[in-house]
Amino acid sequence: MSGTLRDRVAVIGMGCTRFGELWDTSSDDLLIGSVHEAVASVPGLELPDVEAFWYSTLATGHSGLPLARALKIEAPVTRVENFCASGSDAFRNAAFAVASGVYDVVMAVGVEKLKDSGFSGLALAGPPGDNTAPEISNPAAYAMLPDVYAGNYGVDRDSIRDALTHIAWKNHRNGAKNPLAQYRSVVSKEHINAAPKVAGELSVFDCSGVADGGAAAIIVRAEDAHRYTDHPMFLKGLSLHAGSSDGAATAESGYYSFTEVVACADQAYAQAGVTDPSTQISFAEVHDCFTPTEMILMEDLGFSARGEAWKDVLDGHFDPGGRLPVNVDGGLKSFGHPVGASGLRMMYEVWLQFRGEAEGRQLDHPGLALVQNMGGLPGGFVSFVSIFGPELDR
Amino acid sequence: MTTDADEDLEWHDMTWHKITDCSAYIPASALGLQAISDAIGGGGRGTRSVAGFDEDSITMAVAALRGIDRHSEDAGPLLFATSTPPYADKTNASTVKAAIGGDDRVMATDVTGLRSGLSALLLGARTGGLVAMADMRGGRPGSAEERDGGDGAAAFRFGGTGQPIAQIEAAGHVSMELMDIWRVPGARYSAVSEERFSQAALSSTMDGLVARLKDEGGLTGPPTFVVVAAPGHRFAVKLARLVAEDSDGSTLAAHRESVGYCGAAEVGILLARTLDVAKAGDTVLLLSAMGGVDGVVVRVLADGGGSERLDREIAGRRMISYTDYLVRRGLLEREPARRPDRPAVAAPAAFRNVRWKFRLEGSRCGQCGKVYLPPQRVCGGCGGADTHHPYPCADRPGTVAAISTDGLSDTPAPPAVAALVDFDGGGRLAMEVAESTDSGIALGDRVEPTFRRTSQTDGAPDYFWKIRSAIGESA
Ligand SMILES: [Zn+2]
Repeated sequence: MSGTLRDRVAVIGMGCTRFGELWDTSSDDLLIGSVHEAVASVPGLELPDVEAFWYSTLATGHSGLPLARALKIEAPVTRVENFCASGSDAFRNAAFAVASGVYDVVMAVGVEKLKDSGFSGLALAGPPGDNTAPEISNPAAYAMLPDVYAGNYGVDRDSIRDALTHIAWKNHRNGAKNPLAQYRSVVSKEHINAAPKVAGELSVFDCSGVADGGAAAIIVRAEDAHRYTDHPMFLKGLSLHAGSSDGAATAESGYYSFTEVVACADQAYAQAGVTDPSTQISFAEVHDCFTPTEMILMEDLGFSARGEAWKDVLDGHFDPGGRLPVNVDGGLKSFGHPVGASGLRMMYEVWLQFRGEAEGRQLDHPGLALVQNMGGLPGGFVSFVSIFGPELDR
Repeated sequence: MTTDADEDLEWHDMTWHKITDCSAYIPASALGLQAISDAIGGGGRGTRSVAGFDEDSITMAVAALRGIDRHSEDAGPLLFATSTPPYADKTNASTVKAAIGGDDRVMATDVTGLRSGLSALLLGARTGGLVAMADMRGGRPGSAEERDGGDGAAAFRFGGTGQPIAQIEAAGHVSMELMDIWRVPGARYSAVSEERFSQAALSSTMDGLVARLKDEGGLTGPPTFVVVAAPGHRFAVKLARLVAEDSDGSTLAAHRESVGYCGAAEVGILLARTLDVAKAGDTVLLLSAMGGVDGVVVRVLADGGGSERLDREIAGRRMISYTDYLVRRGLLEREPARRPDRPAVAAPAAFRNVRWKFRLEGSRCGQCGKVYLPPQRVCGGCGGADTHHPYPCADRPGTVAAISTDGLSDTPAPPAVAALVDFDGGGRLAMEVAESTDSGIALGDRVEPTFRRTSQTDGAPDYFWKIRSAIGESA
């Protein structure tokens, strides 16, 4: 791959709804809310100025029509679905569209309305099949990770448990400061440790729930960005990988690392010129669907040495005051996971931090930011990594 | 085959295939009969066997057949006997046959009713091939049928390669139009008539049959062993003493005290357990007393392998509560998990993937040796396309690479347990743990596949492989 989107694409406006059990809000409301807010964030821009849309959703409607119908527009609308990375992939396709020169202003919008189903987790209906897929819930699949990690690195189980508790505690504490988060309570480590287990060693505090929510981003070419705003968010690197799922099929790859994440992080770092992510990345939004996921991601993204993430977590390296704050907005843990919207919600936090608008959780001098978003199960993932900066390098 | 009572002995000079292997399967959990007394009355002493929530007659028949030596070159039909067929209309034996594999150019067929085990045994001795019998017996909570019933299976191989271990010498029958026990299609429970009436009718007829087996069936002395298949515990034991007081009835007594009457599988389980402890030259008098009387004289041709394996499995069973029993039997409905229903199986996909779904057959690359479960066309090891060959895993043990309880998935026995299994020789698969609760399986443990029910959609069963502790290796 010779090309890169480094400094070629910028975000000039964003919108994000409150996430949660929004019983009084329809999927149309979420679409309209996030899109209108994004448009309103760009002075002088009107919705008809947006020339094409990428609409991400896992299960809240099919085709581009739900978006066009709700917004009363007639425009190119592409529905994007790529599991929990759907929102990120909508952004990715929109970025390629402006970089190609065909469009000047495009939008990625992700919406998910999950709570009406009454189910607590995600359940996808596949095509009619032979019914040989095991009935294993997502928490149970992820609950296998800590054991394997502990065994592989010879770390005792209590230390791993402490690290997972710290991640849950941190993300809840971060989310308490975010008015858009679903859960806004600080939860003590004692309370987290005392919670009944739902799968393996994981309690509800180790699992992100689902939620309703929407988020949108308006994207232009980097050279046009300053025509719309004084504080654009510039794309530095972007990579998406869908794994072969050999990790689920063969014993060679472990449950202590996500090969897809390593591969696409390497690619995004190369594009962005990042050689030492642990010092060059200023802060990160990562896919903390379960606390063990966040712990392992610290290693796969190069923030911690192999087998050391649990220690760095406990030493507060990823706390808001640490060397590399992770999920300062509260993460999936506090937001819940409206699948089609989450990737764009992560970018929304970077957007606010760059603009100095992350009230109560604003970081000092935020530099390069990493957004990592993934879908699937241990053994086979779709993984997305993007890197943003507040300024053009040149 | 039904004849008048007078001319019904069939002689050893007719063509009988010899028994070349046999196996009994008793499920891994049991109910103490005292628990019934405590809960609702009507229990007693001893225990009865209880199938796992993910077992039924089909899966138990598969388990019993997997316990015998099957040779792919042996042809012959598969006869499946049960009074609790998971399917009507559809042939249950086809599912059993698909799961045990082997040449499919054979007749696989069902025989049903409580007497069908004995019929299948005698038919199998005529045709050669495989005979499986499995049943789950119960009744209304607190009933004698529930207390005296049991769940289990047995399998026999007639003819083919291998050393004969026993042979049927004579069989006699008296067909009786007797309303002693019956169940109309769709009914949940059997109906029984006044037992003093039916037992009197059966006893006196059995007396005559045994006398004729002694006169004309080659039973010169008392048989070494006597076993009786009959629903009532006390009646079965009493009848054995009555007709063969000098024969060893201890296998029957032990079976009735720890397992219970396993319906169509009863004769098979009793015969298999007797052959385990018998010596070459012994004779077994196998009697059935329900809906008519039947008697079979079996000559033992080889010393049995001993009862240690089955005794150990029976002693090691997990005792379940009466509440658990009622839930498993669908007599007590548990609030389901708030999860979407599993989809119904798609018949075309199941048919296309029959060797995967029913035989756990993956694929192995002819170029690089990489194993995939389920089978793949493109190899991730070497990039080859269509370089993979069938790779059977149903008889292959493995090691647990990761495991977790799963409190969210719907199961009659929460929490479910999920495990990642690395099969010996390659191949990794995420699998459900059979019977889940208290499976005792931990990270690094040795496990083996077991054919189980996975779910039920609109009452239709569905099947796939789960894992359990590798019993085969500890034996
Ligand atoms: Zn290969």
